[in-house]
Amino acid sequence: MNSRAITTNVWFWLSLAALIVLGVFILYPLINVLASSFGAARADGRSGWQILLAEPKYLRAVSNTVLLGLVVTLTTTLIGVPLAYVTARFRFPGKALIAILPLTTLIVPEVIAAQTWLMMLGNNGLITRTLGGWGIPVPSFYGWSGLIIVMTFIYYTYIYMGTLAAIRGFDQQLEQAAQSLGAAPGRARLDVMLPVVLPAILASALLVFTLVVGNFAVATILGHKVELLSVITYQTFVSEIGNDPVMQSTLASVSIGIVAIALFVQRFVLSRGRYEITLGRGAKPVDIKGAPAFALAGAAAVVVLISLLPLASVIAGAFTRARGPVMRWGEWTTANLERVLINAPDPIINTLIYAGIATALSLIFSTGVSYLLVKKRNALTPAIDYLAALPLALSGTVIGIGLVMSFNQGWLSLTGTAAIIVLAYLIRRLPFGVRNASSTLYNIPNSIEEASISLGVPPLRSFVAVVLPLMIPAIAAAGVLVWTTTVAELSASIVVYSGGRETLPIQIFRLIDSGLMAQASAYGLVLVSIILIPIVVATTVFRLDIFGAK
Amino acid sequence: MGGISIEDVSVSYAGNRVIERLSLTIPNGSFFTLLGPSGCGKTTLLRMLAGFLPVESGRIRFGETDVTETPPHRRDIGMVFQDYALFPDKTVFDNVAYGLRARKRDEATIRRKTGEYLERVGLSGFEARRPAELSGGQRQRVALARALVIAPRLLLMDEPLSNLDAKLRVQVRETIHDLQRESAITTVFVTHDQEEALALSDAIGLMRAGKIEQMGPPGEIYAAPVSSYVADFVGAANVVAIRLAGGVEAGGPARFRLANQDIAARAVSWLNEGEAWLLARPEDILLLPTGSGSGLAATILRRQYLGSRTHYRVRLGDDGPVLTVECTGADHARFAPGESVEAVLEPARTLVAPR
Repeated sequence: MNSRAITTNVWFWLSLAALIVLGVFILYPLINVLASSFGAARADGRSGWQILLAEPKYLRAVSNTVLLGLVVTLTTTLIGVPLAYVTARFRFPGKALIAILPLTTLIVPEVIAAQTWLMMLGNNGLITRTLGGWGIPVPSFYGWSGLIIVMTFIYYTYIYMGTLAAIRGFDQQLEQAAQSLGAAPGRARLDVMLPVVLPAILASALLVFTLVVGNFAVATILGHKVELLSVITYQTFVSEIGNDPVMQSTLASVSIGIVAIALFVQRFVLSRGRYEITLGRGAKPVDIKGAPAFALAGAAAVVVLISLLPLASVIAGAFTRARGPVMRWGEWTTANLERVLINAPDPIINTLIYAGIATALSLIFSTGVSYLLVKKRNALTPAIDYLAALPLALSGTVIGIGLVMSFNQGWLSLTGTAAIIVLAYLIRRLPFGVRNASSTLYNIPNSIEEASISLGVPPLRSFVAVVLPLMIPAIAAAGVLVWTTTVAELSASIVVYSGGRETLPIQIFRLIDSGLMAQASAYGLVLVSIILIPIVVATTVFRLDIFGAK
Repeated sequence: MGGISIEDVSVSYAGNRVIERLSLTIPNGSFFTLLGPSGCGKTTLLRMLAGFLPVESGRIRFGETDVTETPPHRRDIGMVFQDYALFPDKTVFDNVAYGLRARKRDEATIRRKTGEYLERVGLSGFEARRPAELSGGQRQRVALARALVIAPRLLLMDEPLSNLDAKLRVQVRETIHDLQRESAITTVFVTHDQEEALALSDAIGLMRAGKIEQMGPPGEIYAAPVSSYVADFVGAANVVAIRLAGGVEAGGPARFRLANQDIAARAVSWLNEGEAWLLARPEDILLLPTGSGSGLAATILRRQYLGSRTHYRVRLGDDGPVLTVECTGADHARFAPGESVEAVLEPARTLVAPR
């Protein structure tokens, strides 16, 4: 018997097992969604696609969604790119404030961002009423203006971080070379730096576009009369008339299609100019003083303050007395928090349990899958790689609908269980976990494992003894990030959850819907704490580089 | 107990046949070097000996034991890697003790042996450090101690010196030489550096495209290369295209004309009439002032003074080939560019190889 053939086979069988798991829980639901959009809907026998093309409501939703995606991508780029450039190249008073930017997007879930903006600028908002009391009319925050403003301030940090990393990695010698050849400094920067940084900007812009298209929380809370794909997909799903599987599939398929087209366009643009980007020594930030420094510091401060507004208002809201939907600003109380912590703690407990299980499983599965992808390549691993990245292109609503359609009955009936919520969490965060573990594994040379094997330790024990310890800091950092994004998950879990299994974001969403902002803020404060505490512990006690892992 | 034998082995890597029916025997206790340019299959052969690459056909034996199907962790090998491959989270002591612990030695033995080998590589007192706190040379010494402390059946080294700077390379090379001679562990060493190969080896296998082109002790490889490839790869050699008027037996004198003058040289193998290569090492060519009457007329084109010696570029005749000549001894820099000289190619050390 050939023992080496057996060890080779062990990895092959593990790959096959991973592929089957991914196939059942990612590919099968996706195929279900796409396939059932071609089935006959309603009594008149029209397919979902025929109805889509016939009813203006649906077409408007498609065009509104694409338009919103484009506008927010543009506004986030306009804020994120200059901010990144300024941070990378200049030193000015208050620059340290900008360093907390990535943190704000992480710790404030979208549903809380939407809620807090409403508490300020909604019909009953603090600012609206204060200005109204002075006789200054404030235009309605619902609809386009609210959608664009809130999404811009939620998503610009993605562009900022992507661009910042690229500019910092840009070899300044290229710019100096261009100048030495006679190009003026500004011209040199544009000629040499832009082409190198552009792929990073495009990649983060695409990410923002897909996030906007898939956004559920802000779209539902602020969309109002603006029809958006994610909103009507969800409405079709929960509709009183009995849910409409064909139409929900059709609408979900459309959003998959929009993201697919965006991915294709990005690939096409990037492939037209391919460079090998050599990472070099980035430029040192230059001091600026005087009026320009104040202007820069001022502009940066405005951006940061607006980013921090949700955090400040959720804290204030949680401690503000309320009578029904009316907030009595200035009257402080702990009643809201007592209520959510003592009388109705179920959403908190649910969130901790579901997200805890999902985070643990996610780390184990993504570490294993990444090990196969990086160290034990075989005929199956490209398919695993592709399937594990697929959820990136799917919105939470689509993943949720796919799961409900696929595991409602039959051999694996999960509807109504906690397992389907955990599964939704796992699938949504899988690409992130795998990418993170893979990049760590790429940095651990094969020779370390081989050295251990050559000294007489069998392969699996070698992995545990020498490779795993090296991965622990990265796994822990990834764990914190998976946790923070999982406890904030709304769009997939709201589709798959059943009564009594509300999580914090779901409960907050429902309270916002009923206009009970104070209680929503109290739950929001708990949610932010659940997110923030692991981050603080990880970065200060264990000194983990969480944002480097991103 | 016999040495290491590789019998009729073929290896494919990513669909390409990298090693083609190669056979080789390495005597017990000897230091064997696989030398060759990158891509010649030397690392593949080493990884195959370690068991990290499966063989397609053929057998590998360590002494009487057939290890062809034995997985790497049961082959009883020690391995030293180009990038050191130290466990970064473990101390120097724990790195060296790793193999002993895997072999379940008692703690007292582990302590004694580890201490002994750290002393041998000159790193006593470094036990508590981590790899990041060591220089490149120190790291490779730890790796060497780690591989040797388990007294393996076979020591494998994959370009262990190539990440070190020139001075350290010589130092670590000497450590490797002394330790291997003391322990008499059969060693296979892979390198592309001919100087390392010549300095360390009992025998060198010079590889080319998955096959061994020439095998023998360093002196033989250097002085009697079997082909222009070997002559060119080991040491520097002038390789000049010539035409033979008739066939020559191996070892026999080959006569030919070069730059309109008659020359004789030793044939490395049986040669046919027609095109062949003339091989002459720079230090085997003697330059004399014009009028000595015993050499070929030549002109100095360029002079490079290197302290202990001088390198000249010399043209034979008026439009003949250009040769590199190395002169040592007193007055080695006495010829100036443009000067006419006579070049003497010693017949015994000038070779003709088939084209």
